Amino acid sequence: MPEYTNELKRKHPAKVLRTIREPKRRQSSASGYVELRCKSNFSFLRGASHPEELVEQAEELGYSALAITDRNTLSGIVRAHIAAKTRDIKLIIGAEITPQDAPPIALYPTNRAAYGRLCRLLTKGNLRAKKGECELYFSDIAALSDGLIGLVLSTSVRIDDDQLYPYRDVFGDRLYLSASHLHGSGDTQYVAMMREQSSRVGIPLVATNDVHYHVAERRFLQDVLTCIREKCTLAQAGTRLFSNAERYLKSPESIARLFPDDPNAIARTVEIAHRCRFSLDELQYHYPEEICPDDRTPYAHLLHLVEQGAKKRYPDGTPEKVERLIAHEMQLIEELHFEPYFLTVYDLVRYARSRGILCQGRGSAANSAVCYCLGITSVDPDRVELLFERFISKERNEPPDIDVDFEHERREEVLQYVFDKYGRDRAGIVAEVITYRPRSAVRDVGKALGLSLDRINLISKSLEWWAAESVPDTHLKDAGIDPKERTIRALSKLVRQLLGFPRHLSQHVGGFVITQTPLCEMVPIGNAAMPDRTFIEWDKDDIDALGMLKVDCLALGMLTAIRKCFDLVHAYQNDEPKWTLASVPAEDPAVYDMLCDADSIGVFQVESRAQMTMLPRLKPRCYYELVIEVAIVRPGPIQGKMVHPYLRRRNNEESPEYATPEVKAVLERTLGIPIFQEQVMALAVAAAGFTPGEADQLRRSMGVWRKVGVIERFREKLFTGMQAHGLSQDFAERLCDQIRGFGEYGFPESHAASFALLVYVSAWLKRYHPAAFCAAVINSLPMGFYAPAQLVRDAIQHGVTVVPIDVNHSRYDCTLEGIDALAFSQSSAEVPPAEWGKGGPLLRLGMRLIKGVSLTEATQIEQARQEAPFGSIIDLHCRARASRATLAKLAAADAFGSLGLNRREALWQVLALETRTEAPTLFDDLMDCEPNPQLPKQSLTDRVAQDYSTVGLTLAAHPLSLLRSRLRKRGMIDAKQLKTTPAKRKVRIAGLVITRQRPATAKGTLFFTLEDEYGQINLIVRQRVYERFRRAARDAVVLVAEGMVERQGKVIHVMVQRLGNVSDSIRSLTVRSRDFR
Amino acid sequence: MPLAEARALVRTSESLVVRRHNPEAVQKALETLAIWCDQFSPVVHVEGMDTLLIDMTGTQRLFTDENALLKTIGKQLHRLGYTSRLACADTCGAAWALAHVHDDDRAIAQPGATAASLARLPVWALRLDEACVQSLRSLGVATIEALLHMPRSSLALRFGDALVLRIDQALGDVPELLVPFRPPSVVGSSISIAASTDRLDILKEAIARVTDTFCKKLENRVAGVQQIFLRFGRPTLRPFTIEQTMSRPTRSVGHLQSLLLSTLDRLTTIGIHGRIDKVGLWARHLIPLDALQAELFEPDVSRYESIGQLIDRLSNQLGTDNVVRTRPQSDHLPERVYSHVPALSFQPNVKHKVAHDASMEHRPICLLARPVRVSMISVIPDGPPAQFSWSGTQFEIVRCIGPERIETGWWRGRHVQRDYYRAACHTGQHAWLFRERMTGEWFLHGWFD
Repeated sequence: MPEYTNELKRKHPAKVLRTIREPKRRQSSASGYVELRCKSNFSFLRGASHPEELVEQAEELGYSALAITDRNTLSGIVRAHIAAKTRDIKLIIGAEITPQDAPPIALYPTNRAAYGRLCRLLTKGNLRAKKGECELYFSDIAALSDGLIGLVLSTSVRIDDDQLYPYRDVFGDRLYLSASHLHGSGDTQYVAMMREQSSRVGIPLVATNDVHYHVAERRFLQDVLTCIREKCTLAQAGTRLFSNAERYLKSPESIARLFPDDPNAIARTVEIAHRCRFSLDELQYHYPEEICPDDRTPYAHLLHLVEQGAKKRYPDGTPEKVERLIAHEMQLIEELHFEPYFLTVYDLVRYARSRGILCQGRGSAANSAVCYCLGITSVDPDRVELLFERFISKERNEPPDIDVDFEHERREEVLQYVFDKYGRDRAGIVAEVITYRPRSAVRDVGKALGLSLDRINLISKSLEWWAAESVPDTHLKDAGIDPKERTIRALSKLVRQLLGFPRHLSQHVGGFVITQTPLCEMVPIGNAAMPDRTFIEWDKDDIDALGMLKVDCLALGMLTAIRKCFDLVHAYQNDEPKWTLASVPAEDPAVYDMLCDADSIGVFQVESRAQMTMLPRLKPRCYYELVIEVAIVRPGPIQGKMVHPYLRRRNNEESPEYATPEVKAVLERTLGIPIFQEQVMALAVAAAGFTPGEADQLRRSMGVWRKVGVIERFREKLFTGMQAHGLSQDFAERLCDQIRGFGEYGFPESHAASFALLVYVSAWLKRYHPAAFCAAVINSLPMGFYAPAQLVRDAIQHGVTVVPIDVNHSRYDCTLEGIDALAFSQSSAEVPPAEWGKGGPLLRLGMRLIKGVSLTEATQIEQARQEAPFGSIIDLHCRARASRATLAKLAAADAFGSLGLNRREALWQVLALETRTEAPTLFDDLMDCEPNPQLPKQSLTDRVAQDYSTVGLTLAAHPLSLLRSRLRKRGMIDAKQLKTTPAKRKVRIAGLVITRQRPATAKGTLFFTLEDEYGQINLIVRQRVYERFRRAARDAVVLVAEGMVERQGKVIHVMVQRLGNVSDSIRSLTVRSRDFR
Repeated sequence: MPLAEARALVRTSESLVVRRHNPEAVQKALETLAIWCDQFSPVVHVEGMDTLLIDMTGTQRLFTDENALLKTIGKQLHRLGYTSRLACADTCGAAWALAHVHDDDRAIAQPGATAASLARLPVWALRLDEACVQSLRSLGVATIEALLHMPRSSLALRFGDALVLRIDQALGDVPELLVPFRPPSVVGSSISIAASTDRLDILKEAIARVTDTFCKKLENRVAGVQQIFLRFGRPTLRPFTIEQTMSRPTRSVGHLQSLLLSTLDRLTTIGIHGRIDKVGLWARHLIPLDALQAELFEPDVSRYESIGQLIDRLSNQLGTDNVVRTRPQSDHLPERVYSHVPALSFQPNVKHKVAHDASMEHRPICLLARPVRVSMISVIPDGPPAQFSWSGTQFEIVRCIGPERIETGWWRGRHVQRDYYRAACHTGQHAWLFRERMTGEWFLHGWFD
């Protein structure tokens, strides 16, 4: 394989810093050839070049125009369009279609209406076939052919004249016949034959080169793509591969040499290019109209709504500060014509609220006074200093970005509302382009090269190197791979080229696009893998680039939990109005006390192990510090090594310094340390001389940077600029690292602000309504970090009385009991944590905890119970029509306590039931005459084990307490003793494994969280130790660790030196530990 | 345990030998053992994938006691390379339970003490299904003893008759029927030689006779064979088997005899150790073969058959790998569009899938086995070819068509890049020439006539 340069991860062209590259002057002003047949890599597994690469290469070669004709799709054309725009090259839009009953044809719209028809045609074909395929017939093309130019395609396969006549009749003078000279066998004869046929049937001949890649060197990748598509190796592929590397973008001169006898066939390409006058710029985006009453302008309507909202938000009069903000924001919105956008989001939120669905906006424009008044966000602008401009810049005329989170269980209702309101022809979900990542690229290329699965797995272990610019040989050798070997060298080159190639389209999690005109005339729509789901072919970057309206409707589990908790609380606080996100009492010191103690199991965002160790160090005491808390434990600040400096300043161990007043303005709110993505951007402007536009593109490119990337290109600029402003080299270096970290997982202030509110609200609920909060979280699972066992244990430790599942008391969900006789007052700040739940309602576990019991079955039991409590199992069996299998599960879960039956007795009776549905008869009494055998009594260990395997938690005893005496004999301490053990002391300790985490930022270090009957134990396991005790570390349910105690304020870790597995002692426990990566 | 996990448990992947589980092979091996167990009792029952039940009723007296019996069986199995767990009991159920669960790999339940010997064993030892075992465990019934204490009627109500049946079978309250294993029939015939011999003439005669009876059997079944096994029994050594494959199905006595005899000739030069007392010939698969055809053409074999017999004989003499035929192959490189395969392995009835390739229309009739370098004179440098010489003859090129560009094989480490031309020579011949694009050298690769 010849050498060629390394490929970097591809960005959407809209995200590339355009200022860095000077547009190249074209070599010749007008060339006589336009390539009309180009497949980009959006012809999945066929084209081997990005659309931008094709456009760039065309410019280099002096083309005046270029057509992109992907197979059945227009998904790559926005990228091509943008690349072409910056390069002053005309892009001709087209698509290649292979009808079932006619020769393949490329179609090019000449105007906007024809473009609409092409989209409609592709949509029709897509919706008829399963995902990723397109089924069209000649009649479809004929019906929508107006204004489209047709180019009948052929390569070496002969087309009968009879097949051409129907096309000619439909397209008339808009039909052409293509011929390509690809140095195949007999191509000279073939071109002569085509020429003859062209004059015979009266369809003009057009020269094309059937381009599959922009330069000949890509043929290797193209061969590999063919193998991936055909699911074979290169050795097996044979003639399925192209026989040579001629399908690259050739210079107009070489094409002229290939067709010496057909100057007209070449001239006609220019003629076609002239006829195609359509450009994507003409896609005038129209906001939907129904968001606003006919008699009002959008501005007037928005203003009206904001004023109304303000009255509701501030019944005692709008504070002056907010008034000012509203006026300012409204002015900005009017200037930028964003009214329809805000009205659209408002409509969604209004709908959700009318159905009692909790929702919350976040994103660049969400945290504004306008959004607060509209109810899109609940972050009171009076409480925080968030500047609208910080999120919306006047310079870029693009829609603001608001993501709306909805309760995860009910988001579908909102989606359906959107579809109903605007119709499926006007609303669609945007696509997500699934691209090759290192793992998938190595796997697919490796298979094509004929590597065994074992070797591919071996290589996959060294994945991070494959994405890097050069692979250090020593690393490969360590992994047992010979870097000099030919196949490995080829693999490494091909993988790097393939990275970032689109693999297929998928639907975006919640991005919606809504239009006034039919959507399918704007962009083709295709089927998703999910039944009855469709999505458009463009992804959100494409949509952004074209300035189309997009709303993200996302699903958030915590909102479900909070809403359910509000409902539960409301049930025992009837007299008060129901809580909302905005009405929860703000800035309660008791809530912050709790968080500073890292008492945060179940609380949104800050319940993770990393956050729990951060809380006591950061000690958040106000809302804005929660915003920082949420944002600081992220790859960006961690990789930028910004965490410790911030903590030092926060704890007054050092004082903030600011190089310049501008820098101070940017960083003052975070004590001189950049924490948020927005600050990094602002810093680039204030301290490195970037223009705001450049800084914005810097932000956008953050999202797609990988380990190496664009940053290197203007690192220089950042460095020199910062030095000029008196910032240290070290600081600039760290800032670069931070930008890279944001690339992995960007987290802007505007999102943190919305999340922090949910942190506060959930913490408040946990503090004052621990029983309701625990029930609500369990009822909203799956969400968050913890399993029911940990949530329930946490509730018990806060004084909540938890009662077991019982067929006569439990519903499907967890419920609260004893609320009638409740004289519940919120505990004051002085009450110790262990008594927060005292005197409150009882938490009754719900049947949803039992594995295999469905909502329907549980509801049947609930309903049947309403007449009268069940007196016996037979009674339950007949009245609730519960199946024998369900009853067996209930029995195994020990849910018959109120009938005076333990689980074995209950199971014994259930097993005797026959599968029948008729009412009980006299005959059933006979059962009572049956001798009741003496079933062995269940031991405590057995009970705990069975509780875990059926319900996932136990109220009987912590499994570790059963082992305690044995563990003590072996010199092991418990979590309570650990709390009082001084630092640097060697300890042995055991616990149930709750989580194993290996954060990407921690260089292979693992964080284990164990649990015993007294609390949680945090382990730090270095990679070396992990490797040595891999078996125990991977498999243990109950882990024994030996190591040094480390203390940082209230945070205690055990730095592990040895690990052991004592799971065998309670082998049958099936505790589900959840691994996070 | 998933394989990936097993791999993770060993440090280096080399120390882990991975073999795909082959249930058929396991079953087959167990059946072979069942036949072998004939020596202990005529009634040997194959139970599941891992158990043989042998009815020893009436045969114990051949051994001094149960202990000696188990010892003998165990020793002999060990000699065959098997590890065994053996148990002897009054009932099949009890023996099964003891063999599977007992701490020792030899267990004996004394006559009449069946229930006592089972008492402490877990309930699954009664050959219960998984669901039943689970339910019993949930009820706290872990041992057979505990199970036996439960009222049978209650158990039947809850777990069905299957459980009760298994209990009764284990205790001997109901009899259990053992079905002796019988091997599936293969076609074969054998001949015993009264006094073991190593004389070639006797062996040849034996082979001739055995083949004769074998082919008669085939004739009766209107079938032929494509693979046969010839087995020489030796009184002191393990039997010696040779395999003979034919290119076509056949039952011609003459053909098979001549093949086997020539094989025997070859063998004697290598040497069969030991004397031979039995010669057997058998086949696993029979292939339907029209009776009429065989009879009609037997004396004067059809062309089809004679080629087949020729291939068989040649392969037998020269070695299977040395008699080959060509097979089309999908590749862009002209010298790789066909490959050689052993003629014996060639299946004439299987269509080899090679996509129809239009480019073949422009390929020469005669392709040189490997391209021959020629010296070429072009009128202009790098221009079309004008004149070349080959085996002492000068060829003037009158007209040429091309180039056809072939660039392929880069993944094999040799990136072939050639420009092919079809050149009309002054002699009227058309040559297929190519220029190696990297070096500019010219080669002749074929002739169109």
